[in-house]
Amino acid sequence: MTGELPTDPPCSLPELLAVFFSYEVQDGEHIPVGGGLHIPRAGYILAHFRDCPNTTPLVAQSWCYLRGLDRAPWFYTVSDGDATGLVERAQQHEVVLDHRLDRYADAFVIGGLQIDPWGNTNLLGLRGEEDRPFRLRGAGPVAAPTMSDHVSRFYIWMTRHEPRVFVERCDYVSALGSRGRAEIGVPGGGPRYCISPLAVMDFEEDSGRMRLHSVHPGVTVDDVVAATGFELAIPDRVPETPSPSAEDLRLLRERVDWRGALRHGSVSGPTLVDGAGG
Amino acid sequence: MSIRVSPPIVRRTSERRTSIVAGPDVIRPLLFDGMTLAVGGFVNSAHPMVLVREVIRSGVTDLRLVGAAMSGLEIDMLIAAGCVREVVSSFVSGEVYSPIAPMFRWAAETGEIRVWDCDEMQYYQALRAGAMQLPFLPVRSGLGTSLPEVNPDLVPFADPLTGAPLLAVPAVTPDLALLHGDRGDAYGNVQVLGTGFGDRAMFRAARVAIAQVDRIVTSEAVRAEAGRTQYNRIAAVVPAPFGCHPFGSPGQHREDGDFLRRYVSTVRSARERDDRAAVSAWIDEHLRDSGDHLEYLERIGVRRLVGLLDTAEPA
Repeated sequence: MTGELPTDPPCSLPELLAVFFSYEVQDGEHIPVGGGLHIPRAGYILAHFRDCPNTTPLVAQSWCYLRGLDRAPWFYTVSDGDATGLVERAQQHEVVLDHRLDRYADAFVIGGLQIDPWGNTNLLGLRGEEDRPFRLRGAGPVAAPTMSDHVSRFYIWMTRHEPRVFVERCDYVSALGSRGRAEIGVPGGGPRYCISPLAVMDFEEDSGRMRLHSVHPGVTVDDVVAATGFELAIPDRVPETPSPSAEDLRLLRERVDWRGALRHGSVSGPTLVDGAGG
Repeated sequence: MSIRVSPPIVRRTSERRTSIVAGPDVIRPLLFDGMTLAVGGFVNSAHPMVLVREVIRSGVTDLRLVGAAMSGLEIDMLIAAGCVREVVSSFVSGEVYSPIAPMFRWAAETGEIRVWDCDEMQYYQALRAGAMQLPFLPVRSGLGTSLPEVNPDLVPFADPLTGAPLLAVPAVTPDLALLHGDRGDAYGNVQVLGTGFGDRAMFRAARVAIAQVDRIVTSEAVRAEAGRTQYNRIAAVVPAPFGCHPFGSPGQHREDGDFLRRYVSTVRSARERDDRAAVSAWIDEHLRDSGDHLEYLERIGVRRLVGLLDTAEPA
């Protein structure tokens, strides 16, 4: 047993991103990662197993404690999985948002079909013509508007990084980004990071504009600029998104994603070995 | 009714309680074109599919279909069956099977259905207003977004106390709510093994609620775990073992991934050919003309159903 990174297979992009997200979690936090977001959820459960015993993962919409288990239960979907024996409190979905959100959730994760320079996102769809409001219909905004209005920080999880996704102006806005909350009187702290298959972005403190934070292994700054349909703020130094340590990758593969869904890449993206970008 | 249920066990011969156990056709007189119908469950779980198949068989149309706040392919299948005019839900997704529910997406893009867009808080405020028989309830979330534009029923107004901006969310009142429970007694006390998701909100708002349950149990069994009881004083309880199929039933069995994948690929390939009738044909074969519930389960087969009991390893 050495500190060598497991290479069979090499770390995948979903695995790298899950481990990245795991370091965003602090012990004692509750982050109700929602539908279609199995990569950050894997990261959240990884943090719980690794060094956050007081975090409370949701399995089958129930608050659970998982550290007594060898391996995580099914977590890839929000409703499924067997919480029998793990649940400490059942979540009644109709009153989730009735809890004071500054006490209920420390952070949130939202997705988007489109995102603009201020992190405003669109889960409604792409604008159609005349009497048909959608030429591409999205699944719907789910809890993104309410959560992003109220929580002290949230993460935007984009599964594609292309100019028609990172747009100057969204066809429809379903959740506010770095601006707009003061005008409607809600207390939220805004987005902390936007994570895409190419890079991690943050938001400038004064202007709220999206700024490049790190590029993933094998991706260049030029790749990200070419894939972004608006002007991205670029700092003088853009580090590489960190690769997982051997210990984190082993913990992820053995106890969290032991079914291997992240290893075999459910999000399009390169493996680290071939170093291909984009 | 094809599923045999023994008469309720009573201790005293003077007991006069009335059993409300019924077959799925109990919902038929309650269905009418254009009604507001709520269907419970959550994404890939706990949908009352015995009752949903009955809705499809009834031929009812123009439904204002209230799905769960996070609804799934059960909504898709009702749209595919031609029953739906408008969907009320904050999220319609098959998650790993299809991040955007495919028939919902197709029908919304062609204009076959409308979507009453809302976020999760607005969704529950609408049902809560319905339950409380208020014309609306307020929210702040959604202000500053496109939601009031895509859903003009969400009306901006100024708080009468402070003048602050708010959105009025009008009441949604289901004429009928169809719900799933894991077990219930003959008198309509319905319990769940999992969380019940958000189904209570539909139950509270609906004019009439009917539940299907995997098992009818004694009232003594219900009382022994009264904390699990989610619904009572409903109109009927319908016995339906494995009644959530092809969806999962928390605490009992997982979803039938093969069935859901076949459904999704049918819709997607029909869309590529612009062949709407192919989807209707699939619904007819698998859901409408599948016989009574026991015939439906026989077609799925014992091996498949028993395999779904392994909840550690969804397929």
